[in-house]
Amino acid sequence: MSFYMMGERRKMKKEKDREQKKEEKIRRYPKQKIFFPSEIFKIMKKVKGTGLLLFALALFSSCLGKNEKIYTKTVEDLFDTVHVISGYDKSEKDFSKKVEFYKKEMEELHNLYTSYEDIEKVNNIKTINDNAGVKPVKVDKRIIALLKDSIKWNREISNKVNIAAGGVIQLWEKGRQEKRIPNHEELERAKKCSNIDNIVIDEENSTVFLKEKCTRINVGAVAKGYAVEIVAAKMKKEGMDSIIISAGGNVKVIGKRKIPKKEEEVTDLKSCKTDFCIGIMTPIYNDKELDNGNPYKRRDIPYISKIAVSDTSVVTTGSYQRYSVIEGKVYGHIINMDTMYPEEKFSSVTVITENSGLADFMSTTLYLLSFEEGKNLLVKLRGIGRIDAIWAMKSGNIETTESIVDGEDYVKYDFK
Amino acid sequence: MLNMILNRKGEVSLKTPLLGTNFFINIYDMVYILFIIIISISLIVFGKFFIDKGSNRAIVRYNGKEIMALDLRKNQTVFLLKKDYPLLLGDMEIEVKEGKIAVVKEKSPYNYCSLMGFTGESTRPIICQPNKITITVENGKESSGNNQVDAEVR
Repeated sequence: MSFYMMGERRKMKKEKDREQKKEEKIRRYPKQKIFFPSEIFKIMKKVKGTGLLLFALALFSSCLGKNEKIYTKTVEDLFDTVHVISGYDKSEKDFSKKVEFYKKEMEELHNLYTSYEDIEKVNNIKTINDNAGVKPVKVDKRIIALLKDSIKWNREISNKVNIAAGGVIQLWEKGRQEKRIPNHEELERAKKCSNIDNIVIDEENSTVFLKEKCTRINVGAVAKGYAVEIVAAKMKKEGMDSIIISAGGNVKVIGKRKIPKKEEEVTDLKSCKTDFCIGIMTPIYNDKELDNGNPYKRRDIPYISKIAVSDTSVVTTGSYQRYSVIEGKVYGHIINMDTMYPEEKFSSVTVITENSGLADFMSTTLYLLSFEEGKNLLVKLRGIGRIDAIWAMKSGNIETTESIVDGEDYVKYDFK
Repeated sequence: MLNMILNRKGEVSLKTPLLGTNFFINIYDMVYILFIIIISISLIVFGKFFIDKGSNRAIVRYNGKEIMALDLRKNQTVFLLKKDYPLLLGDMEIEVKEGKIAVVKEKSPYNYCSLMGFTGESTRPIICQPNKITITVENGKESSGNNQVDAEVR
């Protein structure tokens, strides 16, 4: 007799015993409805295991108490910087998917907006520059949008940021590498080629043509912020929120803090309880000689001010992180096209506004304008939404637009 | 109310006026119910006290690839040598102290990553871009301490 048959017999015997017990109980309690434990198993079989269901419920309840928490990931080598993405999520795996989304989208934009790299099968800013004075180049509509907005802002807001001044910027980049000041005549020649009207955009055919052979586009003052804005909008559309994107210091905040901070965790900036808290770094060179006399070195504080924000962008422009020392003098990377020399009016200028591309453009513009000119410009621009600014003056004084007041969502530190 | 009667076979008869029904539950049923209750409670306790915590560690990446995970509960010093990681501009010294991590020695044009000092916060990674090194803290605190900052602009 096989084991299978023995098992079957045992099963049949058990079934018979169970039936006998059932009949006995019915005889003992004839008028009452009786619930037999064996029926539980029958029901369990029907619902494929109530026990399993209960177990799953218990597992779920144990996970229910698990709060979302903040995760941080970095994305490297796009727009010549490291991008730091922080956000609330249930697990690292879920958050990694969001970061992958960001990376993929930013990579595409990097390939389109670069003026330094040739990318296979992609017509980018470098392709346009390489064909200057030769022929129009068919490009992606995202390049058209970037160039159109940059030209519009140059004409309507301020001509201090000129994307057609790539020639002058190239000369300074070369000079900084070789530790020499570019030749003045070369700079003059490059300036003559920097007329923004040299950029001809044909929207219908999606082409860009540079009228003069010597014109070079450089979107360094706008592209990174502009790209972050595009990707952040897509992320928001996909339902991703409560995220901070820091693209080499250009910060874009999507939504607000998902889990408010406890009262005791918030000290000087009460709004950081629900909003994200952004620190504006102290403008120091980290060099004994260069920081000699730098008022921001007087106090050992990492930030000149902190600001609590949600759904907005915060961008800073300064020369203390990208500079070169030539013949004992510091030369930054922001070129004033009037003088054709790097500008050094302020230690840093920070702009707070919703659109990250505009924030990028405005921070460079305000860095190149005088304090009074910048303040007046922002008064004129009140109609287009909130644009606030924080100037770190060379004296150690921190100046701000009127709507930024020391209090619940802004705090500044004294360096005078 | 609920009436419980224990019969000779060890079965408990439950009678409720609401249902007017006698339920027979034997010892195995009781064990089964108890088992489910114990499992549920232990899962809740486990989820509450263990799953969220995890151990604090820092992930060191070189050229985008994870090269080591350092336990932040253990004070230690780690050296990254240029001969092992050719994209480094020079040898690098990383220190773990009291739950925080810092790059204490490195060669780069502006020394930003050593300037940053110690971090134990997941929102403040250490970025040594010229050396192709990034250090992120996992399971770290949120913005806390004196800084209380979620991101920095510079």
